[in-house]
Amino acid sequence: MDNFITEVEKLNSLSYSKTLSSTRTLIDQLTLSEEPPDSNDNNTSSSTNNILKSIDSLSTNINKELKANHGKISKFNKCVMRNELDLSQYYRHPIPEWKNKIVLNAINLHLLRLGQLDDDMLDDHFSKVDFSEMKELQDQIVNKHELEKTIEWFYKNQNQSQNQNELSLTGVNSEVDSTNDLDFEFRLHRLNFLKLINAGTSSSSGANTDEDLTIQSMKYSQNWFPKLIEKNPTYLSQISKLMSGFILDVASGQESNQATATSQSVNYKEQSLDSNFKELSLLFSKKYCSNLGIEYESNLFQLTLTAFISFPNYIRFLEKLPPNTPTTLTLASSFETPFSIELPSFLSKFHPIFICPVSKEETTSDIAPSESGFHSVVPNPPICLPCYHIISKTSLHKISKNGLSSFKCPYCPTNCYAKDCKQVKFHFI
Amino acid sequence: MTVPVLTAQSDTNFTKADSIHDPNVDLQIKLQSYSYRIPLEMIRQNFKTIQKLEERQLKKLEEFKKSLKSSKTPEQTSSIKKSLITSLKLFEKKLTRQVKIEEELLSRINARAEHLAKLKPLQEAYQTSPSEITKDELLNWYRDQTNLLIITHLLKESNDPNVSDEDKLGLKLMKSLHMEKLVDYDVLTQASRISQDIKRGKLTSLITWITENKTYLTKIRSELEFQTRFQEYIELIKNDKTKEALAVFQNHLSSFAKTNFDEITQASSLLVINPGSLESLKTKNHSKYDTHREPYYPSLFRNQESHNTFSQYLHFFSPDRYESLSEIFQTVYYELHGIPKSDPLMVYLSIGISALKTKSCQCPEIKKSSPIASFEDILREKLQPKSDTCQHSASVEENSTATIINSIRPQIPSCPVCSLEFRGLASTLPYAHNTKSSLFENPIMLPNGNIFDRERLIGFTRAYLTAIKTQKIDLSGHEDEYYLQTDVSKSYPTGLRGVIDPIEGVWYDCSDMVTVFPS
Repeated sequence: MDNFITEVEKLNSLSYSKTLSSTRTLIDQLTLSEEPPDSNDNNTSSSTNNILKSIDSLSTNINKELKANHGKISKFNKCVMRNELDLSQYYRHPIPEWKNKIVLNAINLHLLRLGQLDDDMLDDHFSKVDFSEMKELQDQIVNKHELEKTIEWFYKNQNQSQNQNELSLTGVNSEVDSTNDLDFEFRLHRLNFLKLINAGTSSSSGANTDEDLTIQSMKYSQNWFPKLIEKNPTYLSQISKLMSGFILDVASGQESNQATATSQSVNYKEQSLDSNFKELSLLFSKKYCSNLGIEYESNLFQLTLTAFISFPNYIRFLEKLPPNTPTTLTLASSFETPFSIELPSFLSKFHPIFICPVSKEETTSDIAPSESGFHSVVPNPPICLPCYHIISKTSLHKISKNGLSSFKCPYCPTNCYAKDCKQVKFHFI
Repeated sequence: MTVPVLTAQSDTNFTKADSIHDPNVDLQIKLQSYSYRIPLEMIRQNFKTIQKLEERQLKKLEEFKKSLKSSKTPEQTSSIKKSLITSLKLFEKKLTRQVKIEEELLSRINARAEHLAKLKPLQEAYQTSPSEITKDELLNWYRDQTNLLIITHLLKESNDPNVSDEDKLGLKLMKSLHMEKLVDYDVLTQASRISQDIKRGKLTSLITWITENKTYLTKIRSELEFQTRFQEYIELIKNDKTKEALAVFQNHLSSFAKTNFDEITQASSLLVINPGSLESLKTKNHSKYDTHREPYYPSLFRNQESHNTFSQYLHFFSPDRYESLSEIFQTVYYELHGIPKSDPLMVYLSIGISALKTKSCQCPEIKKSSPIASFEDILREKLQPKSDTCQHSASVEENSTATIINSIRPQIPSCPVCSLEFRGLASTLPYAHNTKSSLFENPIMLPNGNIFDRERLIGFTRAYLTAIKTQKIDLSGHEDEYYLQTDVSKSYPTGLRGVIDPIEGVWYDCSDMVTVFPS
């Protein structure tokens, strides 16, 4: 990596400045010598000599720079070649051109979230899917540290969702669930308060404004915090911490201008306001999307990210193969990738996965999964044996001789009959 | 009243950084090597231009030196000097122009390297202090990468001749995301413009390009020039411009006699065997034949013998030839500029889908002939309130159960592979190879065969009960009423009398929960 950056820096020293400057010198020299000779009559010959010299130095510079630049370019070329990777080697299951429209749909759904969709793509029917509002509020939060509009947005939309369903507020509460309304409301006001007191204690100009801001922040806290504590008592401890820090800070500020910062007051100041605003903006964006009923991350992005993360597996796999081995990048026995891929949890928890402990095959739902071209997959759901051990249907067929005979559970001494076995289904909730 | 807690399924606990850092920076250099290759190839071409220019100038300087030395009179010297000034000024102007081009190309390489260099600190920040923010900032880098892939894809694919360059989505997107230096838009748009011209039967821009790149084409012994001139010739014959056709033949085609002898022979025959001449033949022999039928020649081939004779010539007049000519051009053009043959976005989508595709994914195969859903349809369906989570809709009461259940169920992140937009792509791609089960801590089974995580099912039931309490619905006679009562007797260690199945909205007694052993 650093090596590569160094090579890029070296390439930047490509230059023709000496060639250009000696060309200019020569032109100036020639123009001067062509001017009507005033006092210097006899410098024609010396001038011609000088000109001949300058021509030589121009030629030398041209040759020097050509050679040097050629060297730099071919060196960088070698560097790029060392890092070159032929993507088509990894493209063994191409997407046919007639499916380009599908890709275009996915691209548009991705661009929708960026607020970058072509205007004529959406008619008035979709007026509520307006991500430019989201972009504007994000800008307000992150760059301007302004929360008023977001608070306004929150109460406007909260009412809507409350009318539809009162549960969104009271039904489920959790401290971790980032889409939780109450939690979001609390964070909004807490941050707005932090911003106010920060402005109050950090501004050095005029004691009056200081006091005004202090009073303003007090009023703000009196206005909002009791309501929030009423809704969820657990906020009380957080708020009292916040308030004690605030009071101590104001007190210390009045006693002396020196920073007699107590541990408490340091506490909330040290928290970078900037990162608080960033965090809130992220929460807001997720909330905005969930209000619309659209996932925060586009599917297209999740897929490209997955590809970036799984690419090293493919590179390692092809490196191990002897060169020019034909491979479809699938297992010989099944229509699966030739290796398992480890993905971060946010990209791997979409479906419960059950691997039959007997056959080591992944089970399917009871309906046949996709007919994948020539590779149709036989439905193979999980089956629960009377002893509550679970195996796949194909394994059951094998060990029970197609259900004709009783069999012993592969994991415990229970004797089982096929009629006592039950098809099951795993669910994430 | 204790407030039930039900968290989202997704892991928001950041004690350990996820493996997003896996694709390291060195890998990204490799994956993006083409974004250095393209400007570098242009720098190399530019260098060749400069080299030629300077070598010519060196020769001239030698000549000027000689004539200056041998100059006898001041007048002669003066005139030599004057022409030297002119020559130098022209050289200066030309060189400055090439240097400007080089600076632009270098600035692209620099911008790309700078963007690449941002990745490492972001990864380190995420690894040393994993949080929502550091994760999001790292993901932002990958978001940029994805947007770059999209822009490149759109610039290649945007072939609509009715849309002006400025209005093309790819270019617009590039500008509004300020990615001008990260995309070789000029190279890509030139390719799609010429391809589009070819497909419309216009060869002028292609011929200009061929003339400009003749040295390269000769070096790689490309068929492109011959095929282009051949097509030009065919088109002239088709339009009955025999004189012009002959000119093209003599000036261009004949020079390929060594390499493309057979085709040239056939080309000569086309003067006689062409749609025009065959048309007259047809009207003579089969005047009653329906002339509206396309293409015109089938009528001639009632007679098998003449079919064989003519068919080997008549395919020359097929419009498909423009498609294949465009393909030949694209291959050569991409090769020359170092543009990857396979579109990177498509490569990543193919790989990404396979890495995520499980045997539980539902992505039915689509046929080439079946219509592809429009963007509006997909969006409309996505925006509809989700109603598939609870399958009950029979009565009003059950409906309210379903509504409550759906409101409590945390949104399970939906699978990109099964998504409305991608399932049509996913159907023909391989599955991920999974060797480990990915389930939950304490699997329990209900009598209907559904298996859930025990704690989450209990948490869900609590949330459901709280919800019906707050809704103040009249529950008399409803089975919810029974389960609302907590029971602290020994048979109910959780205090609950039963659990509600979030899929089917049915109550089960706590004793119906059975622990199962999936592995």
